Amino acid sequence: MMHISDRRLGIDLSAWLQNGSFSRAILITFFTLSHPGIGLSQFSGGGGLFDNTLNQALPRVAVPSNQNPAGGWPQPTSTASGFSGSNPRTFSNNGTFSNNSTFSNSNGPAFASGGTNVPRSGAGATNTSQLPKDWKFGVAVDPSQTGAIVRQVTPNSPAQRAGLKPNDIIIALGGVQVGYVENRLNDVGDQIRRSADNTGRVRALVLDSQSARLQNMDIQLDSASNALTGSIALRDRGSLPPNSIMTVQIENVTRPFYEVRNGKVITSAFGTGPFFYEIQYDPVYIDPRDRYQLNAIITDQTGRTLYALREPIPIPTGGLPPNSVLALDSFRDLQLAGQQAGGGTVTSAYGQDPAVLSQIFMQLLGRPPSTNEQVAWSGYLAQGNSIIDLKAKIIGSPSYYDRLGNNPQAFIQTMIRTLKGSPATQNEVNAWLNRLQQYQGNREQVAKEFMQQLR
Amino acid sequence: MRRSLTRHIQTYMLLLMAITSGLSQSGEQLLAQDSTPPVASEKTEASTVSFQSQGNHLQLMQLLQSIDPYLPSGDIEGKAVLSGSTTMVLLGQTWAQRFKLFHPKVEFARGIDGSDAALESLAKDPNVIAGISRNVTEDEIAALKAANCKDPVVIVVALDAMAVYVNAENPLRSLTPEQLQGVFGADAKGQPKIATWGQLGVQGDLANAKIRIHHRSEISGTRNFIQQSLLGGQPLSEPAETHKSNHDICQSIAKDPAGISLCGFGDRVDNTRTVALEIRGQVVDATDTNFLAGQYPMVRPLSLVFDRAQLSQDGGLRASIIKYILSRDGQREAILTGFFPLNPDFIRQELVQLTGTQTH
Repeated sequence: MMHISDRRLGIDLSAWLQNGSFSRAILITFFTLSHPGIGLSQFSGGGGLFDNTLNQALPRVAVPSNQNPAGGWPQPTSTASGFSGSNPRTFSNNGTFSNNSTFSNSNGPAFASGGTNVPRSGAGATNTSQLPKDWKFGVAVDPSQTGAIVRQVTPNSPAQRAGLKPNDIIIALGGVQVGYVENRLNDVGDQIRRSADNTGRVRALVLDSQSARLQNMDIQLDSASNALTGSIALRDRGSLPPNSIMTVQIENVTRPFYEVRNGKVITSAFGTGPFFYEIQYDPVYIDPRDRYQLNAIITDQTGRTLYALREPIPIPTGGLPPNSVLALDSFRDLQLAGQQAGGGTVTSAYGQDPAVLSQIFMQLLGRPPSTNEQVAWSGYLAQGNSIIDLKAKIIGSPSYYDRLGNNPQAFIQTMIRTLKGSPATQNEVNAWLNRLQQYQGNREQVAKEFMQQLR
Repeated sequence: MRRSLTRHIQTYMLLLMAITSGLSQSGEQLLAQDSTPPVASEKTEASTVSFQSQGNHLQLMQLLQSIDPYLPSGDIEGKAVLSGSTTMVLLGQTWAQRFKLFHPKVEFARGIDGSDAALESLAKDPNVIAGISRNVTEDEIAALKAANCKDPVVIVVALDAMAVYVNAENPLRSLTPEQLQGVFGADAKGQPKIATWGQLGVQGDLANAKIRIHHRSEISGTRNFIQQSLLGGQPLSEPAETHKSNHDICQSIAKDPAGISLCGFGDRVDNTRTVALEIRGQVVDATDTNFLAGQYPMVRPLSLVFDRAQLSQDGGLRASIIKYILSRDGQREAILTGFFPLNPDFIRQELVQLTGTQTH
């Protein structure tokens, strides 16, 4: 087994493991957390499991590779994982999204995909990875050391058409063993995504449960995703700086929190455009009772909005019109237009100005947000949550409470003083302490209610 | 049971492999910057590891994108009881509010506060979900099994990155595991194994000064983390000062040139700084970026404990709650509450552990 640190400059706690009880303690702690019932004796042979545990939980952001002249870098796509399966809410053929509905400018440049920019003279480029597709196989499996044991086969599925039966064992897909391989789970879904060709064909090595013979099966999988493709133009014919971030996403208007799996593409972009995108969304997440819209925004690498749609594009029944181009306005123009109209807000610019978030963070927590927080908060606001929601959530956070000594009274006093701009009276403190109790200590709810009363 | 344990081990071992294969690319792209000798570290050959800051925004967006959104599985109703540590109760409230957007008929009740009480509560009532921000011991698991909780499972749901804080004037650059253990652990006589800054390689006025440890006043999750995870259950050395909050700790360290403590990443105040960890000669700064890249290892896992045997008894309520927490929205909420999300691959493996058979 290749050791993780061999390939990652040795930066992990396994190095610490070699230092005796310190590392061992963490190993045991973490392992015990995740595997209650496993005795410490499991580790008597040495602490080699530690990095198998804690490291696995740590998030990994992709690290910028050598940036190419186009200013982008190959990225793992956002559409990496998940299962496909039948769902009663799968969108019908007559539904809002038509398969492969395209509204691109047919005269524009081709897709730049596979992590390779396609710079064009006087044009721009987007940088996307090879778009993965989700495929439907139609099996329920239990992973084992031998392979993936088929427990159930969905009627009229690719698996059934290929002749798979319960108790057959899928040994390999695309020549790569699935199930537990050297104590590592090689997931069938992952392997399908890696091995299937563009048309959804994959070769499986199967142990037939009845004949006990190995056989190769060429399986034609069903598509489990729908495509929405198009292009984006900059209305002011401006030019994007290198490393701009283009986000195009399908939004659920009825229930903004109900995100569509693979319904968003995030790519780096530069130049004058047009910029092409392809959303391979998972139709299982489309609810025919809900309304959807397409939104697009371009930010710089700190999250500051550069271009946005004046209004998101409603996705009508029957899909978007063909050969459409999404025209994005510069954020400066949008702000100006908003001010002239007396509104001052741009509904589609969900990226939010990072300066606003920083200001709120400084006011409430005395520090600017980390990039981590900035991204999460942008996502939160993109779901249609308000600045009041955002402030309430920060006020309700452990950090805010900790700054006040984890003391309910100090919390209420400070919350009132901060939000109202004047010191709290004793009556106010008592009243809101009661409210806090009624909300079972939910500080976010209290803050939200207080702000709503102030309006 | 044996099969279950074997599966657990297999699952966890395979996880490393999954990460390993997925991260080789990341590792190769690390910038091993020119060595800046730690001001006061004994090992001056250590090099600093950090990532290019450029592009973090995009990568973080994509990290969240690679976690599947929550997919409700039909109408769910019922009442869930969340008990646990203060930290976890707050996270639980946040998750509960969001979960109710998908499932308005579900009700949540706040159970007993505190990790100990939550586990006791789970032992009596296997319908409880206990949120724990400290280690769960084998004895506690055995006690759960001996009571009414027949198949207790601990699932990590978020991460709390921890950092060593010192006064901004303190020249200490980095700490090795042994040094950290020596500072915070006590010997048989209750004395710290490393008592002065000079023993950590610090020179100048501070060299002969006694290391002054700042802790939380009560048995907090942080304190428990230090004792159980860093010291392997060994006693803590006596603190110079105790405080009611992490913020108080950092404010005190800002005024104490000889102070040191362990707090969360977000607790830093002016006139304090974090100390990097030195691992195999590599100095890893306590930054969000390093943590999110999987390079910074000191983390306190936040977990939920529940009875898996009961999952089939409540119409899918608790399984759905856990799936939600491990979804994109649930992980984003963890960030908004001040913590870090889990690795998407890890999440998928935890879901396999939760659901067993996979559908493709």
